Amino acid sequence: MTENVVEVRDLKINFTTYEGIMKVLDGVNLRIRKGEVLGLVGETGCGKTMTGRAIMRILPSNAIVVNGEINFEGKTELLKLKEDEMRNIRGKQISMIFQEPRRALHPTLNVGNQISEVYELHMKEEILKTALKEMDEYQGPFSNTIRGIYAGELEGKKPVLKKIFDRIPFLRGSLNEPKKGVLIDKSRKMLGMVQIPDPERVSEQYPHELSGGMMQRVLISIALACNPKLLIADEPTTSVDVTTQAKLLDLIMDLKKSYGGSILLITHNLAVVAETCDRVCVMYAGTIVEEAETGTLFNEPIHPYTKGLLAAIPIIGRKKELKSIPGFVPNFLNPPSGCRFHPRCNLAEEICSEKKPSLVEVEKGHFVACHKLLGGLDGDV
Amino acid sequence: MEPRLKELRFNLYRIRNNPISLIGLGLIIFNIVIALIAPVIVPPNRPNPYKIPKIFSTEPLPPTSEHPFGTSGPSGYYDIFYGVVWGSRMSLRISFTVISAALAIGIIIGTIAGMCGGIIDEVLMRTTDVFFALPGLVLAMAVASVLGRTIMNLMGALIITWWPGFARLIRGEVLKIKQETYVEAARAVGADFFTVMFKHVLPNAIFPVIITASMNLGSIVMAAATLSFLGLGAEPGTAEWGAIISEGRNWMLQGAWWTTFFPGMAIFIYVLGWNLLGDAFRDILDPKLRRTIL
Repeated sequence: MTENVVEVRDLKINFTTYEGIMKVLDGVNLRIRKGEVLGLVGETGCGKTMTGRAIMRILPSNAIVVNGEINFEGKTELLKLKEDEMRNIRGKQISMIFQEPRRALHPTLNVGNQISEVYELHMKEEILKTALKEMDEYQGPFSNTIRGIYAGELEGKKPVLKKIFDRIPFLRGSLNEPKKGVLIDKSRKMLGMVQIPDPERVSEQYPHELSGGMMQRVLISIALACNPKLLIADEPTTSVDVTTQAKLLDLIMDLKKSYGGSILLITHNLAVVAETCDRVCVMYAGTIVEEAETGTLFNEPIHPYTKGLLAAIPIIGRKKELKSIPGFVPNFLNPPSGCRFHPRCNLAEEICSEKKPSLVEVEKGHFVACHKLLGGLDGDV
Repeated sequence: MEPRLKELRFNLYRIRNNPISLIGLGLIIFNIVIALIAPVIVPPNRPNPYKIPKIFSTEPLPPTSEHPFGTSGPSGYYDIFYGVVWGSRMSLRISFTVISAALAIGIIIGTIAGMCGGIIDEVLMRTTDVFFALPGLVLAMAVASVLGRTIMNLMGALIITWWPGFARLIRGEVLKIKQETYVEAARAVGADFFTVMFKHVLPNAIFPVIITASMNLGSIVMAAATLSFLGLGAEPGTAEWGAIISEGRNWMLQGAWWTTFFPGMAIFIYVLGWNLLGDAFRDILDPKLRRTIL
């Protein structure tokens, strides 16, 4: 039994809006194992991104966590952490790649600075040590003073001299010079890791000067800067073309191999899932409806929603008409009773509108939440 | 660095090729030069150079070679030329002091309100609304009349009137920027509240406020002159354009046109200069309009 990096248990999240309370997540259960790639698929607006954000705890201000637990590495309860403890986890232990790279990069800071920010936040000690080591060979104005200040900072003190230096523009620059050198080196190395050609030049550039694929690479390098244990990739390839998409996915998977973390891949692209994921969770209207190994899910789907999703993939050469699932994702203000899928399900019976089905293990590692599974012989629920 | 230099060069090119901005710039530079060399043009009155030296006289004298702009009264007769020249120094002082103080207050309050949200936002913004509820000039008059007639109090009254606009503007921008994905991304890499505020939100939210502030430099002097004209600003006999006009209006109907004409022209040139420059800047910095020519 491999350990779980993150385990989400019965997570319920509500949004308070002017129209009323939206039940966006309705009891999500999710396990991400060490070293695996878990796909989270579903239609637009079914709560995939919210699940990812809940793990990072960067929910919108009107979101309320009603119920549930998010367990990190079997010991830390993420939802109970204080904000500053959570900050140490974000970016260092768990990080996130956002949907639209164009909007996820700071428009007026150059790329190098944006990557160094992560190092500055999470690897301060290492940076200071490297800077001190480098300064041994270098003698310049104030270098002894700066060495003293850095050493003081390493011991966790806030030297008085640093406070004074920080106030005076010219001195502030020279104080941060050695540290900055290390940061820039590190961020260039990171840009090289994500296969950006000419990292020296790119680290000086601003986001608007880069292409979409390049920006996504920069975002990946920011997310992986501190070798996180879990990477949440929220539709990382939606805004780029197919060739770039393939390259980016290859890159993410390669990097994953080298640093050995887990990935939660949020997407609505089933082809991407088939290509990359070890296991898949299918989400519908705020609940997980089916969870299985990728092969099992694609070959023997059980839940009617999963079947519908798979039937809606266009395949070149197929003569049959493309089927779509009738209807839309329901309104979260007034979701259907019982199983949230029942108004769109052609197998629905009376019980479906009355009781919410729970996730049942049909075979090893294959969970389904449906009253009709195994031909309606659902004794557990 | 290189793209910024290119940008700067492009902006300078636009300024050079825009006649309106050149006129505005010319008027402002003229004013600044006068203010700088004021002690050379007319020797300052000691100890307070902003107090116009008194002349023994019983009525305003028309412009002569000795008094190029004539003299005015009646609070002890004085040379208008001295007042106009030293008034330009006073105007620059008033507009920059008021704008920077109002900007500082507005940015601090607006940013805190926008970033914190909730009850803090509510309290700060309702306080701002209280200042907005009164017409600007009326509020400034009330404050100035309570504080008394000195230049410092005049500036204080204008600061109190001016900051709510900036606070509201920056709060709106902060609220907008706060929604951006890159701010969320910054939180997602573990940046704390202050890093997010100073490094990610403020630098992107501050530009509209800075532009508005620079465009308001002219109207500040207008408001200051209005207060002085109404007898609530600078004391009579101070080298402040509004104060000189205020005294001159008694003589104007008796044919002493110079008592109001010269200080009035000074205000006109100053305000026109800043407004033309502000308009030109708005056009030049507007990314939607700017590239059409090249």
